[in-house]
Amino acid sequence: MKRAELEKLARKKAEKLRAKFSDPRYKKVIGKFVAAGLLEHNKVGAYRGHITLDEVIWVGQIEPRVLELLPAIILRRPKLIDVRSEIPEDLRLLLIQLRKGLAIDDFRGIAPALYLPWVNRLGRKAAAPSVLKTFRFQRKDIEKINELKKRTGLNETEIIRKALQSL
Amino acid sequence: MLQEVFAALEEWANERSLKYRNEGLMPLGHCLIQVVGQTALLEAKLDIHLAATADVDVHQQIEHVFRKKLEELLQEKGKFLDPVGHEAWMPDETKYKTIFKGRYVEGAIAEPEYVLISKALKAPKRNKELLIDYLASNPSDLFYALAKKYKISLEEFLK
Repeated sequence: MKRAELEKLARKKAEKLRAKFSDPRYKKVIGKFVAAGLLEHNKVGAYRGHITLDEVIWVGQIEPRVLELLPAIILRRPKLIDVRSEIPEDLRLLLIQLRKGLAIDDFRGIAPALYLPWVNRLGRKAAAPSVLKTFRFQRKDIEKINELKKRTGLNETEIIRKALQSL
Repeated sequence: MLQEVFAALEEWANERSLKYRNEGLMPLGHCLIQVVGQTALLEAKLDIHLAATADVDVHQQIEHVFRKKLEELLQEKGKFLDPVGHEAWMPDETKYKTIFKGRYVEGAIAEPEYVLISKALKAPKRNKELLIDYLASNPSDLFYALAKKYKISLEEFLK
């Protein structure tokens, strides 16, 4: 197919697609995910109203990133979506697998490698999480830490925490 | 968002290096951060509909000490550094646009054509709508040349 022909066909397809982008369901669902800090979108602003599972699944056909987030949201932030309607069988089975830590199947074309990380990320406690810090110690400091590890049975973080508390 | 993060990383690297020098230790080296994926597309300000999860993909491995600080700074912005982002395939000839250059930190985003080719080749189903939208928005000659080089059938996206 020639370039002009290809672009003409693409414009026709994109017209249909843009009609879907203008659909209130698209704006609501994407906006809700934007408001929750789960998605960033260059054309849809935050929406803080009510969205249903049916709407999320409909939008997932146009924007698969919504489906990547869906299992984790139902497990970790269930208040975000109204799931009073019946949960589709494939999603219900996936949620059971996730709760057992056994999810290995694709979900509507989305590989576990794409939806699984969100289950852990959304499960993190927001309040006062521990923060990773890197320090450069001298050899004698390392030797001292190792000696304290053997003597007290504490790990390195706990030893440094105790030392800070004693100062 | 990325420029702010890179600037904060640079400030941290400056402080850290000064401290090391005062202690007679080696200062930090240079760190190049090449961002790919949806984040790079969003930063490129294309006129197509773009959604991105909070993942940030960095193409090549970066030094552990910088990586950890970058993760921390991204998390402050509600973002996550994808642990396998560096494994994402990008064309060998990918060009990057520098958006931040400091003494220690250089941050760059992949040019959109290379990101879109990567998506068309490696995850066509997941990016079908995105590519239709792009094809309808007068794609560049570079995009067509790359599609030809990597034998991507653009017609497939329009079926």
